[in-house]
Amino acid sequence: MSDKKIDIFVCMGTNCTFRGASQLIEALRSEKKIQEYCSIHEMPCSDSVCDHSRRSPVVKIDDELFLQAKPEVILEEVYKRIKNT
Amino acid sequence: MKDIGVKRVFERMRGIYTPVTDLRRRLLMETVRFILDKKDPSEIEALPYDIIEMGKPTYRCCSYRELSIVKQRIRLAFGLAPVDEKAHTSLFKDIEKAFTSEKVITTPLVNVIKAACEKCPEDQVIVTDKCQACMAHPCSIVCPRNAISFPDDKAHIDQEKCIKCMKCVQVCPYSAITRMVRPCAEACGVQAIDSDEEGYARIHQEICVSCGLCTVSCPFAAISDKSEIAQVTHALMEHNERSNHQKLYAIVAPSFTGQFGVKVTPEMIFEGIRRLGFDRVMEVAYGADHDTVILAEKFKEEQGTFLGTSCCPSWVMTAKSAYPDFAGNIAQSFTPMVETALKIKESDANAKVIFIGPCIAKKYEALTEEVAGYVDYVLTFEELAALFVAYDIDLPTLEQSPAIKDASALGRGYANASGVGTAIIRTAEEEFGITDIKFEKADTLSACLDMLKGIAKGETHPDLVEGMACPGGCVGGPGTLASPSTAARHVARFAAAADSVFPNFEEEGTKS
Ligand code: SF4
Ligand code: FES
Repeated sequence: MSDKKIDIFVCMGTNCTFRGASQLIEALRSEKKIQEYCSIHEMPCSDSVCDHSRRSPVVKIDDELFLQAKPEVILEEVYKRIKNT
Repeated sequence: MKDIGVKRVFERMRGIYTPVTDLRRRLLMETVRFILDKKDPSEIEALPYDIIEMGKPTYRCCSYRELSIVKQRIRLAFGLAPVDEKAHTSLFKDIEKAFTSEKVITTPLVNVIKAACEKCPEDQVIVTDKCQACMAHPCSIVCPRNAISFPDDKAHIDQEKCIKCMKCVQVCPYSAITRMVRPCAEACGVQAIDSDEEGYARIHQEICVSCGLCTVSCPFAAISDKSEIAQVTHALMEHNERSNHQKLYAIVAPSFTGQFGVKVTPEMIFEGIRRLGFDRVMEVAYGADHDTVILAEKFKEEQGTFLGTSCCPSWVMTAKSAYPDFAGNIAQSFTPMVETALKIKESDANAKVIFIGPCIAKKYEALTEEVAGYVDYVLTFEELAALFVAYDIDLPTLEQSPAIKDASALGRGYANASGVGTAIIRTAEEEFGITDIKFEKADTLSACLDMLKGIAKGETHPDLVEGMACPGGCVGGPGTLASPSTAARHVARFAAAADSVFPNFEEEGTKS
């Protein structure tokens, strides 16, 4: 996709936005280091994944899916991956 | 040191998705689903278990405490008052009364849930572990009340003597002394919150003006307003099933833009509301335009005294009760919500009007005698979002049309602090060539009271006064989803897209 090593997708569907996706993407975007190493994308709702918001917010880091993604968990995971690149 | 820009206590959690936010939202969406699934009220005992997982307390010491908190919050979501926990009644007493489209909420709207309240200490200056009991101990030297002593290896403040002058806080080399306030009481601009005999937060309902800021400031989810989401869901179901001739109108406050995600346009939000089953959606900025015209016209006559805006019910109540002498200064016009509803009821007396906004005070306003006939229910943006989720409406996928054209740029600007004042000043200038209007404004009720004090003392002599209860104006309201700064940006953008800058004077003027 780009020369950045890690791809982060945050779902911006209504179900995920309701459960904090906007705040989560803002948190990712406000980290300089993450901006440097990762491309942050918005993705649409892929229906069954969020299970009508019960498993929102949905985040994908490279090919791994994270459900009920808490910012603290996602930030830690991303930093772990940055370290391993 | 880097300035981290410390916010006022009650603003610190705003725009952060905390477990308190999460509990509130899951509870709302499961409540709507419960109704949509046509479950019987007798099945309500099962609902809390869709919201919390027993045996896995996530935010409280034990699941049983979480359970009683969630049950009380379910009552409030259904519009009912919390039950007295000592009275040995079921926490779901009378819940079946809320399973109808009849309005059930009554005052008081804002309630403390005792099971959740942590009895936070009231305003105190305290010494933290950072204290080194240093040789200089400037704290005790500057203390005018001799309240600080050193009984052991740390400074100690005698709370009886302390007058909270903060002198010690300013001089401690280790910043070891801080003021600890109670979040709910600090959020309350009219000082309606103290403690009951047992130390729980207590809202003095005769002082409370239902601004709702305490509900989003308590870090323990212990304060909540009542919701009409259950009754609106019933109204929608009845409407959609019987397609009865009574039309449902949604009127949407100017702060709605940007609330449901950055990718979602105002047109998508309107379309989403129609998909819920509403017949028509209208901007409340329409009523704002109406108010602008009424207030701008006032400046044609010689004033001699100030004119206060009337669009924020909490501000109006606060101003009138704190300064009864100024009651006549506050504009007599209705709020934009009521002006908009009036327009609808004029052409369709049978219609049901549902106001959707950032505001809890509007829930109160809609219960007052003057307004009850115009506005049938009030929802917050957060409650609307719960409806979208429960109805499986994914806003970013909806179509963009038709364009929204109910209001002017100035009317749409009402959502931001100083937007109301700007609209009136610019309109008065444009229409009547009045240019010298002296303007003062305040947001948050404590700032509003300071402003009025200045006027009462004769320190300032404004012609026009704008008061708003929420920080930053309506975009900072307790019923919002987006952070106030994001919302403010979107409001400005949508205003710029309006067909005209000024309210349509011809049409409005003749009507008033
Ligand atoms: S902030 Fe919340 S927990 Fe603390 S006293 Fe107020 S209501 Fe109780
Ligand atoms: S809204 Fe995010 S996956 Fe459905």
